[in-house]
Amino acid sequence: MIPFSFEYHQADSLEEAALVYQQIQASGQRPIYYGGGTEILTMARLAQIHFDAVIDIKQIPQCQRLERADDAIVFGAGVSLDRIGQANLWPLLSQAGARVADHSVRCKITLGGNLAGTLPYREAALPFMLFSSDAHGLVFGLGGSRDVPFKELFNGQLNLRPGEFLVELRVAQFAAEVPALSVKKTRLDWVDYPLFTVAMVRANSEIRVAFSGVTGCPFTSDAINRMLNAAGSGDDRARSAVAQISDPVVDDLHGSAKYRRFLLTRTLADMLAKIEE
Amino acid sequence: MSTIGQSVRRTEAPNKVTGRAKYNADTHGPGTLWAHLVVSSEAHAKILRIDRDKAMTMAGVKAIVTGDDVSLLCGEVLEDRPPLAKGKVRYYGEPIALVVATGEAEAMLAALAIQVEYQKLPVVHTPLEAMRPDAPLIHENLGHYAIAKPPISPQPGTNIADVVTLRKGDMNVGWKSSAVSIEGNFTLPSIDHAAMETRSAKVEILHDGRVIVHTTTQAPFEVQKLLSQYFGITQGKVIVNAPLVGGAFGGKATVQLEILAYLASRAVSGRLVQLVNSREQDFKTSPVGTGLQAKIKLGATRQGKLTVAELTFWVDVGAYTDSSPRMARAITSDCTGPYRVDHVHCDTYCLYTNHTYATAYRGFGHMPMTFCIERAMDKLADRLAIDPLQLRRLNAIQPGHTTPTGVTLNLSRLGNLNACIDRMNDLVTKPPGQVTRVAHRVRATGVSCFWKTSSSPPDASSGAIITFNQEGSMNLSTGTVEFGAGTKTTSAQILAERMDMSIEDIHVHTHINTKVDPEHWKTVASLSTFMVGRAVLDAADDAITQLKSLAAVVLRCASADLAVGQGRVFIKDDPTMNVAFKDIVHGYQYPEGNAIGGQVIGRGTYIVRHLSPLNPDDGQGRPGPAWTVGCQAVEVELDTSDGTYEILRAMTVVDIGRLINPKGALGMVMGGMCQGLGYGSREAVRYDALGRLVTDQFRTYRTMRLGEQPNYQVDFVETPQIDAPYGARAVGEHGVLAIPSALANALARAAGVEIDSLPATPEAIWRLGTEVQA
Repeated sequence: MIPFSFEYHQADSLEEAALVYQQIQASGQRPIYYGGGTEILTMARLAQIHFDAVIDIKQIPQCQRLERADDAIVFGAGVSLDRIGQANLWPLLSQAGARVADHSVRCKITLGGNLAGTLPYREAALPFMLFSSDAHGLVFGLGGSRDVPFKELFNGQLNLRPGEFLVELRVAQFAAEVPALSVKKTRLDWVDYPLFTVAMVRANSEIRVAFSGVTGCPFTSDAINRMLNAAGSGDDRARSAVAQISDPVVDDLHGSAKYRRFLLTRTLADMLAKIEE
Repeated sequence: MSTIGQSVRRTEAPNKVTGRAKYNADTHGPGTLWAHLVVSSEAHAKILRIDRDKAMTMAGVKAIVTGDDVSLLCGEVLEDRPPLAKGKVRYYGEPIALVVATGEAEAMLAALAIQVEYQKLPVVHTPLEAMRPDAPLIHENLGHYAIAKPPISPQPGTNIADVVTLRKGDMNVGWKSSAVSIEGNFTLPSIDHAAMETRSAKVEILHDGRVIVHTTTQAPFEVQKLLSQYFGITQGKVIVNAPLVGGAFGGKATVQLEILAYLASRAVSGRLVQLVNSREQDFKTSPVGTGLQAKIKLGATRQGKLTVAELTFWVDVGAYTDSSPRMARAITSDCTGPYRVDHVHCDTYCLYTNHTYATAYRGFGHMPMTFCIERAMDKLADRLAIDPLQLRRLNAIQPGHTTPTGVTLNLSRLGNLNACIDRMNDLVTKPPGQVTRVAHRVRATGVSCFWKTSSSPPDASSGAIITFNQEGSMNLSTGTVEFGAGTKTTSAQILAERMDMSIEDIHVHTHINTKVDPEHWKTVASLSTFMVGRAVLDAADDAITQLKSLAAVVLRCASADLAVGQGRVFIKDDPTMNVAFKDIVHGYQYPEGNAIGGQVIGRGTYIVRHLSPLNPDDGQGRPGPAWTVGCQAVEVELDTSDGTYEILRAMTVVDIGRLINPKGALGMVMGGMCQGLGYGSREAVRYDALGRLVTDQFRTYRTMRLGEQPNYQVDFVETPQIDAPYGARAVGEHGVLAIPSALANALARAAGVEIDSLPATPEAIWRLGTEVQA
């Protein structure tokens, strides 16, 4: 059980959410924004986090958008990964999101929650990272809303100002029209934390990749992309790309750094073969 | 119609599948207090200070108990375990203090506020490390502990809690008659029982001196005995209730939370206190299943006949012995696997480490033991270039042979392993020695055999009581706990068969209350069908005698002329002359009103016979009433380029003696196979460099998930065990036993590497492959 008491507020509008947040904070208490709750509740159960109030933002209409608008696709931060997969407006995002946790949990985890959580994987960010010049986020705080290029919004983790929350992410429609792949590798089970997840796109015959689980937080790297677009066999390009990873590769219960590097090389080669077919 | 051999739905199933079944922690009486444990954050450390001052002032806190408040050492064989750590902690997760408060949240918050100051001690990580002469001592007082139930041979001044020695035949003769030999070293991790229901206990000490316990247990009568013994309470005043148990696998045969809940209740003037393990605490505080290390040498003739086996097992008992010394004897008793070996030398050591302490786990040590011997058999098959199944057939133990502990076997005691192997030979379709290769995908099948006897105490006993409802239906009370194995249903079937009645007319008492239900030793060791079944038959015969004796008066004939069936007592040669149960089970009343006879109450007992503990010098003795034998196989497809694999098929052929409940038995065996695949492929309790358990959730302690199961094929051979009810052999644990080794044998064959430790993850196979290439 969660051993401490806390208030639950369900916000109906962006303004209400920000206002309630400020009021609670002003009274000397600690509020947090709340989406699917899968992480907040499990951590609270073990007293790993403490808060006095949660402000549930997922029912706010703007956080529930899931649609094509003009030449963009809009994903509300309060939409569950499962719904994103069902609607399948962006197959790459559906794929990346479809391997987070298990189905019951994906029905709860929201897009915003996946990006804002403390688990380092944040797989739903990978597709946006691959189109970071054509992706934007809308955030809301006491000062009103801000439209932020994805590149500034997310660099492995969400960069929000105090009291702000993510409302939606947008990506240009063409992102959904280029060849793309997302592959997750685990220790053994289909449902497990990743050894890593790789998302790859081929836009204007240029290949780009983004990684999660390899070195901690999700990342992309121009140097790696250059290696993948150089001349040579897929195997060679994959090998040089992985050799570019200079940060320590994760070495944990799920797999050693050595195995991750080996498997990542193989996976990249397989993905290259597939995407260049 | 006979119910034996019919698939009967489990008696408790309708309530379980509709969510109406109540488990121990589902009910809370008014005024219940909650206990919460403070557990060790170190694997091995001196406790310098426990600061409870702040916690004592917190809202709702009624009492805080620490090791200093309790002078008690527990242990079913060796009394080496303080219920709350005293002076030092020996494993991460060990209980240090107990907070009792008005609610669960209050207890948790106060537990969080208790500060413990430690002085770290060097940590012992593995059994072989524990053997080193310079290893840190985990129990400085090993020489002073009381032995609760011999045999055990602790070695003071070392980490050796026990040594079991087995000597059979003459090793010189064995080695001389061998032409080839192989050697293998094996390392297997501890595992968790991972039952769906975490462990919990509720205790109330009433003012009349009665102690009322409600607990998740396989051993309610052991709880009663131990509480009585530890706290000096008359046994009759300790009343233990065991409702339905949500999975046990041996992990609930030990007594831990009951003692803590008693201490908690005692600290608050006997008020009702409830202690429930969180999943995390169930993983790290309550005992796990044994890991071990082993070295095995086998010698054989060039034709493949085993001549000699030299085995050493180093059992990781963790911080405390619990039932490990008994388990070490079980491992030793069956150490050769189900093969004839005339010359055997086996030493089994129980070693203290700074791991979570171990207790029984499905198979009582036989799963890791079988892994080692069956991997060794495959090495021998490779050395001799003999098909693995043929090698096993050639050496399969048979009637007339003797076991390592010197028991001479006959068909009833052993069953027919050859028939199991032959049936498996048909199932595997291709000789398991052969692999199929398509590019870097390789298909291979691994096989393994198993055997197991109960290794139960020589005085284990069981009872059964039958009463009748006025309508003539029967109530059956036995001492087994229902944790999903279907023991209640089987005993109902056995009773229905003997009474020639419909099973619908048998009402089984599902919840155990030690005050009214007759004792059954413990619901462990796959013994329930055998022991309880015998007691039920005895009780049925007792009831039949009473029914006939009264009916003989009513029907004016001799008892010998009568038979029972379909709820009636009738004259054998003229069944139209009969009297219904309903007219006699509560006495018979003549038309004018006079009554004779009283209630019919059937009573039955059974005590195992001819068992003897292993002789301390040479390990000779009789460890169980009979064996169950079988053969298992696993087919895999491995990607040799990265070690990933798919488990395609898992197969079992087991000699079940007589199938009493076919679908029940199928489910039992398949469940075991699933568990075995989990152990073989992914399950392991893991510790970090400081000895702290890191797999305390299902996020990191991986089990098989729904949808990951391969195709299962289960087949039965039926060689009756003559002294068992309707010939049925023990089969509760056995589905699990040889699956991990069959999986490893398959993967080893496919990858061309030696898989001698578990779990066999893709990374482990890949690493072994790169080592081979290097």
